[in-house]
Amino acid sequence: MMLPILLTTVGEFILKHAINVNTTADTIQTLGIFDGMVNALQNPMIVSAYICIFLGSILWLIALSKYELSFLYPFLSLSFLFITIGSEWLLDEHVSSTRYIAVLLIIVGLIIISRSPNNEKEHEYYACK
Amino acid sequence: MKFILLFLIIAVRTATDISFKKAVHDMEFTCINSTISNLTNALLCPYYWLGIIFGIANVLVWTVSLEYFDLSFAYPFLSISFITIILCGKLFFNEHLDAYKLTGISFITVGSMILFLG
Repeated sequence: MMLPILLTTVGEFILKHAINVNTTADTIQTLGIFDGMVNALQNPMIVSAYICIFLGSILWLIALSKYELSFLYPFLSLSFLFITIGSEWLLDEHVSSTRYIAVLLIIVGLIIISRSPNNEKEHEYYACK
Repeated sequence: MKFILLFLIIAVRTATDISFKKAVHDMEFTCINSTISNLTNALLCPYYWLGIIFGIANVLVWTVSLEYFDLSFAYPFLSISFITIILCGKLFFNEHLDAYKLTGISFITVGSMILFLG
């Protein structure tokens, strides 16, 4: 169940790195938003990053069918943690301490939501005939 | 101006999840083991295609957002989409909103405000 989280996180890092490399401050002005988007989607690093993220979502759906939602939400908050820490180390972004506090609050909120007893549906799947 | 992108990405993510949830809700899975009949049912349901369209829009808007913002700034904003998904779940699917969810929502809201202002 860690695998979808890792895949999504890694995919987002690759995506941001590829966009950093691909885009300078001038690109958006010269190309405009739409052309900039089309240009970005032709970059193979960006495409492979999205494939990573897509595989991560599929694995996440499979995990959802196996485990309860209340069990899985804390893992999602892990991905927030990984992305914040990783973007400081890997992407050399400037993450201020207020950002860390904000992310921590969001993680606590997600964990509280996952403790809700009403996360599962009441009906059960019928047995196959 | 560029902050409209953040609003847009949250809206598109919420729409994607709600469409897929509506698709699953309408299909009424009766037999979890027969994947093929479920799959064909899925392809026929219009909400499924709506979800796919919103998913593609998600990719486009997220790409543009990452050109303007840091990843550590933009990614936690997706947590706001959790809030909107929970609220839409209450609105469209009559799901339960209890004290836990409301407390968690308030934590996430405060965290997002700190992120935005900080």
